[in-house]
Amino acid sequence: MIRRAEGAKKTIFFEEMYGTDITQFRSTGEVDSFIEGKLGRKLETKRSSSNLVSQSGDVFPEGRYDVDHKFRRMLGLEK
Amino acid sequence: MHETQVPDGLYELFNYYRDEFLPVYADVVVYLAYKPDAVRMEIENVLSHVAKVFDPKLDDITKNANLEKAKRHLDRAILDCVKITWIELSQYLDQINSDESLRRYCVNMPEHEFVKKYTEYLDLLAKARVTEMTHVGVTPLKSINEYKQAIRLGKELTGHIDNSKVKSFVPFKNKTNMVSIIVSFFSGVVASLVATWMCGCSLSDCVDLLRGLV
Repeated sequence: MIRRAEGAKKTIFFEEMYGTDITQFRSTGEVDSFIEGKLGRKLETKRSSSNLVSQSGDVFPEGRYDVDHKFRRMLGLEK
Repeated sequence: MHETQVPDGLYELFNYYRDEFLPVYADVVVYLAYKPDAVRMEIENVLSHVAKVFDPKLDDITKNANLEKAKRHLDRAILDCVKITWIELSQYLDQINSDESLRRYCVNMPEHEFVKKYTEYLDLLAKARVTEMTHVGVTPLKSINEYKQAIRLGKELTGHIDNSKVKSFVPFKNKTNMVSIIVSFFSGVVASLVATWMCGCSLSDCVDLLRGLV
């Protein structure tokens, strides 16, 4: 595996925390799977509360929708 | 089946995605241990514009305009990643800096040096924010690098904070505060009794006064 010099690291936390190289990852899916493997759980999506984060240009209204939970409820497996 | 040539702009877009977006995305997900939805929505928007680049019903001008829009959404996703990281980092640093005891006893560096570096960190953030506001819609990369510089300094500061000390110090501080409140309360009661006695009241009057308080 090709390692870059310390100063050339592209990430601030990721590479140092897991001793890996970000250039080995080609998509967000690969990054997510790697982090999920390290955390030992699935990554959830959460709302960022700050108004400093732009959400302009979004086409769809935002809402919480837990598909698995609703599906289990429909099947009567969960209340 | 349609044969469509992949525009060069699309290769550039995905090089930008791998070189600039993925590193900041990895950082924010590692730091939060969850995926911020603002970023996910920007990526959805990128995909919707990229889909239009492959729409055979659209002309080249419209396709190029969509490619440009996809790039802007990717810019915003990158900015969101760095901003969310620094917001979370700042909340933690602010919690330490605003509490004198935590700053003094849970940071492994001289207090004046920590305050100096924290001020420097805030200055870098303010500078990055000004750069972002003055370059809206032009080139966000400049402010992204400034945000990254500030985050690096913030990370350096967190490296000097002893988390185990913070965890044990907070309950200790709460306990000390509670003891101090109880001692103050009983000192007040005793002082009132003494004052009542000095004014010439009998011991039974003091007891009545105490009953009245209870």
